[in-house]
Amino acid sequence: MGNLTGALIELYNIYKIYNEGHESEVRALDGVSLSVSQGEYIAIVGASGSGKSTLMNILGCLDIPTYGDYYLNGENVCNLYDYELAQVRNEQIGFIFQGFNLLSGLTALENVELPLIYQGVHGSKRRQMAMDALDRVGLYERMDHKPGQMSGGQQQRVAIARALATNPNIILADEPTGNLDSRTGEHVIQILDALNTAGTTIVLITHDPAVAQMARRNVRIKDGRIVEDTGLIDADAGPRAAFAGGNGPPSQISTHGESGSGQNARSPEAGGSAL
Amino acid sequence: MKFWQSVRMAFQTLLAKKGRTFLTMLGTAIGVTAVIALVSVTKAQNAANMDLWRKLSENMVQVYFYSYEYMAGATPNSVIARELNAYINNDLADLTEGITPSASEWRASASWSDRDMEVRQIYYGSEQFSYVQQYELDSGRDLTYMDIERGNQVVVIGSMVRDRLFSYRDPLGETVYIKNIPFTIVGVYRERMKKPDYYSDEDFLMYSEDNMMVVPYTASRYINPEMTINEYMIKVFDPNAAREVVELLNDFLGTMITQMDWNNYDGMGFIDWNSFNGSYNVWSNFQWYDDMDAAEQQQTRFLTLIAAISLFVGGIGIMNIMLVTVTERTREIGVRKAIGAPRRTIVTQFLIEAAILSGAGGLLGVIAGFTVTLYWGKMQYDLIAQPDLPITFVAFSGSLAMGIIFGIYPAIKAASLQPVDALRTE
Repeated sequence: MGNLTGALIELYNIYKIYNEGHESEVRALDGVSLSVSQGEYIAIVGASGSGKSTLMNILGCLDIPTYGDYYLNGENVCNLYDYELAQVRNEQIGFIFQGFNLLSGLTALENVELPLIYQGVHGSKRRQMAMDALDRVGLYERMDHKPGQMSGGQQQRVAIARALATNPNIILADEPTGNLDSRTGEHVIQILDALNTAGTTIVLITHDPAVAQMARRNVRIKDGRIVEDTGLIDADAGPRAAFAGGNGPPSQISTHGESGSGQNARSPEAGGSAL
Repeated sequence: MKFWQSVRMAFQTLLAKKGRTFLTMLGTAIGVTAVIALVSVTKAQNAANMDLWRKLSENMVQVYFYSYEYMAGATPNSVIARELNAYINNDLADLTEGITPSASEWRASASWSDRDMEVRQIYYGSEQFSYVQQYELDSGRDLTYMDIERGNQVVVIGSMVRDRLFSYRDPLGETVYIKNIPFTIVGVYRERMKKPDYYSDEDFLMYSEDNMMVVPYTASRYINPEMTINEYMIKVFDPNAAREVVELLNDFLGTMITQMDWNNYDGMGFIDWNSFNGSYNVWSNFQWYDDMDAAEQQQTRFLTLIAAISLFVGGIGIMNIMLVTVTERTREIGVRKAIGAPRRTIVTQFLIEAAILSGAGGLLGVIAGFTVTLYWGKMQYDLIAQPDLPITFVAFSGSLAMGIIFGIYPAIKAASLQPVDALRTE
C-alpha cells in the first residue's frame, strides 16, 4: 500500500491491541483511519479511556500499532528502525505532554537545546535557536531557571519551546492545558494558534470544549474508533470517507470495556457521546 | 559527532545532579581507598619483617649443646669448643664466614671515670664476632685470635656506648669497668641502627643494637664465673649452603660427642669433662622458610578475601545508587527518546556517565589510598609502604566494571522500551 493521498499524515486501519487473544484483551484502537493535511489544526476529543492518547502516541511515533500502516510525509513509519524513528521524532514531530516532561536537572535553555543536540546542531547556533524558541513562548528572561523554579504554565511553555525548537512539521499536544489553570491554559492555546497560523500542523487532545473549538477540525473517538470527524472538507479525503463510517474489519466485541462511560455499545453509529 | 553529544550529555547530567554524583563517587572512592591502603600497608609490613628477619638470620647456622646434667656449668668442654672452632675455620673455611658463641649478659652496668650507664647487651664473642653479628668497625681494632687465646680483658664497644659514656670522645685505650672488672677499649663499632621517631632517647637505649659491647668469650669468667657457653652461631657465605653446613656439622659432632647412655645413667649429676655428657642440635632458619612462605601465602589469600569483600561491598553501594535512580532515569530516557534521541546515543551517554562516576570515584580512591598508605605506613610502622600496584589495578578496574555494569544495564533496558512505555514509568 502506498501513500494514496499525499497528505501529511495517513493512518490506515490502525489497531492497538493489548493482550491479544487473551481474556483480558483490550483494543485501545480498533481500526482507526485518519488523514491529516499540512497546516491543519485538529482536536481529538473523547472520554478518558477512549483511545485518544494511544492514537496520539502512535501519531508521535512514541508507540507502534499492533496492525495497520502509518504514513508520515509519504513514508511508512511502521517499517522504520529505532534510529530512523528517532530521527523522525526529532525532525518532524514536536511533542507536548500533559505532564510537561522536562528534565528537572537542566535549565529551561538546556531543555530546549536537547532536541537540537540530538539533531547535531552545534554551539552558538544551537544556543541561538533555543533562545529564539524560548522567546517565541515569552520565556526569554527565564532561560536559566530550572523547571522546579517555574510555574506550571511556564513549564508547559518551555515544553512548547522544546517542541518547536527544531521547527517541526507537526506539533502533537496531549492535553496541553490539562494541568494548567484556565488563564495560563489560554495563553498556551494562543501560542498553539499562532503556530498554526504560521503553517504548523497541530494535533491536540483535549477534554475542554473551549479548546476543541479553537481547532478547525474535531475528531471524536470512542472505544477505540473514530465516531465523528468534523473536518471532511478536503476533496482528497477519500480514505477518511471510506473508513470513518466504521467499514473496517468486523469489529469484535471486547470483553473488557475500557470506556469510561461504561457503555456496552461498540457500534460506531452510537456517536455523539457527551463531551 | 554523536559521541561528543553523549559526552556532553553525560557531563550535563552529572553536573545537574551534584548530590547523587558526589555520593556515588564517594562510595566508590571509600571502597577503593580501603582496599588499597589495607593491602599495601599489610604487604609492606610483611615484606619489611621478612627482610629484617632474613637479613639477620638467613645465613645463620646455630649449634646448641645441651647437657643431661642438671648442674651449673654444664657446658661443652673446651675440647669440643676448640674442635668445633677449628672445624669451622679450617674444614669449612670455604663455606663459612665465622663462628661465635651465642652468649651474652643483658642489661649490665658499665662505668668509666665517674660515669656509668646500663648496657643493653654484653656479648661473649670470638674474634669472628663482628662478621657473624654484622657489626662494622668504626675505629680501633676488632677482637683477635690472641685475645681469645689469652682471655685478654679487652672490649669493643658499640657506638651508643661511646656517645653516652664518653660523650662522643675518643674512647680508645680507656678502661671501662664491667661489673667492676676493668677492660681496655680497643675498638668501636659503627652505628647500625637509626632511632625511629616514635622512640624517646631513653626508651631507645634499651632497644638500640648499638648499645652493646663485646668481650672475648674466654674472658667471661671474670664477669660471670657461672656463665655457660653452650650455643654457637655460625655464619655461612651463601644462604643456599646452610643446608650443607648443617649436614656436615651433624656428621662432625656425631663423631665427637658420646651419646648419652641412658641405661647406665644414675640420675645424679656428674660431669665427665672428657666426654661431654649430653647431646647437640644443629639447625638453620632455612627450615623455617617453608613455614614462613606458607604463612605469607595464607596471609595473602586472607588479604585477597578482605579486598574482594570490600570491593564487593563498594560495588553494592554503586549498584544501589545506580538502581535507585532507575525509575527517574527511565522517565528521562523516555523523554529523550520522545524528542529524538536514538537508543545508541542514550546508551552511550549512560555508559560515559557510569564510567565517569566510577572512574573518577576510583581515581579519588587511588589517590586517597596512596596517601593513606604512605602516611599510615610511616606513622604506624615507620616504614615506607609502597602502594601495591596489582591491588590498585584490581580495585580500580573492579569498581569501574561494577559501576559500568550496574550503571548501563538499566539504561539498556530502558532505552529498548517504546518511548511511551518508558514515559509511563511512575
